[in-house]
Amino acid sequence: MAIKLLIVDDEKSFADTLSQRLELRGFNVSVAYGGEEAIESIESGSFDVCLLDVKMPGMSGIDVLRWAKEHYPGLVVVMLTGYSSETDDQEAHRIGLYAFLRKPPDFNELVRTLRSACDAGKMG
Amino acid sequence: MPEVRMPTEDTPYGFDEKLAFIGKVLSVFTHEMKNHLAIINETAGLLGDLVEFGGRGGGEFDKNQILKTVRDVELQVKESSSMVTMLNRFGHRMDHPVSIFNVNDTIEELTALINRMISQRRLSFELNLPGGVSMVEGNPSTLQLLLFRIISDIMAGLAEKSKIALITRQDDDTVTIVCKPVGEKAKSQPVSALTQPASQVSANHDPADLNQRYKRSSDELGALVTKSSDGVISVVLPISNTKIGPLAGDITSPGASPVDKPVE
Repeated sequence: MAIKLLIVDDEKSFADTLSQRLELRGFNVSVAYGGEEAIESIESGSFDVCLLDVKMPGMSGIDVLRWAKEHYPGLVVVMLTGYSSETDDQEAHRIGLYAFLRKPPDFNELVRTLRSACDAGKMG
Repeated sequence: MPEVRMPTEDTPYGFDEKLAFIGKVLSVFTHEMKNHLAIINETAGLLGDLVEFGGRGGGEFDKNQILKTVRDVELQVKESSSMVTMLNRFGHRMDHPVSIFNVNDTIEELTALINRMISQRRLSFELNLPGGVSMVEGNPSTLQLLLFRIISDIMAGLAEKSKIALITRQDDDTVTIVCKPVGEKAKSQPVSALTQPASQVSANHDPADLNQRYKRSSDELGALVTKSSDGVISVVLPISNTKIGPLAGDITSPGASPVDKPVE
């Protein structure tokens, strides 16, 4: 069964292109272009994994992660960022992040991480 | 990323502030470039996918999508190159302690380089930089630092979806840069990620304190900084009286350094 993935990134070109590539590999992908939109998507959909950008206008990725872990603790979150901050990294892991990847990601590593994140979510 | 704290009014102005400014510009720029590279990387990857998946089982390639993807890569490379040119010019502004320069160019460059910082707050720039503005004499990077502080201060007091308007105007022997908040004020003053907002320097926004706040840079430039009751900050710069010949270089060329003319 296809992994249901939510990509959250304010860089529209990046999110759309990544979405196309992951769909070609069998993922069932939805895209949200900001933190607030991500929350709406999470509330209205049922996702296995969320791939989340950190720095976004308005609600940040860390804010979304915090909210998701409070309301949907089963949702597995992988963060992807061009913003190299150890503080964010540590804070995200403390909240319950599955993995932190840097932009631009190695695509094969990204696919492996998303699949293992989904498996980890199913095992509870 | 830890916030960059600019020195407050208790800290002597000087080199540290310039370093903090350069550091902030670089961190915003590199973040922007990381995103550009990520888009190029994924778009190039998609191109490979289209060939690989399209060609499987003897299937046909989607020629139109492949061509569109190639154009997307070209466009992204062009945008990235433009950003790199801006940073290159920004660096070259510091080549000479004093030079003759175009104010509009320094504003365009600064706003392009820090645009992400503004858009992260859901704000935007509105530039009105008419041609024909006379050259001024001084250190262009000092002017950029001064404008950066002013923009940071205005940004700290604005609500989301507002604008920061930057307008230049030529008078008889001066060039005025008007920095104007456009839109609603922030309900609560957020702490600027760049600098202590003016409101923390002076609770009542005393213009005298604001002048003190911008004093070092404005003194270096021989500029006058004023603030009106509606929060509009104006920087008045004397135009250069130095006669110069044609300036080398073309500022519109990719990779061109600024056309600042050093003053001996």
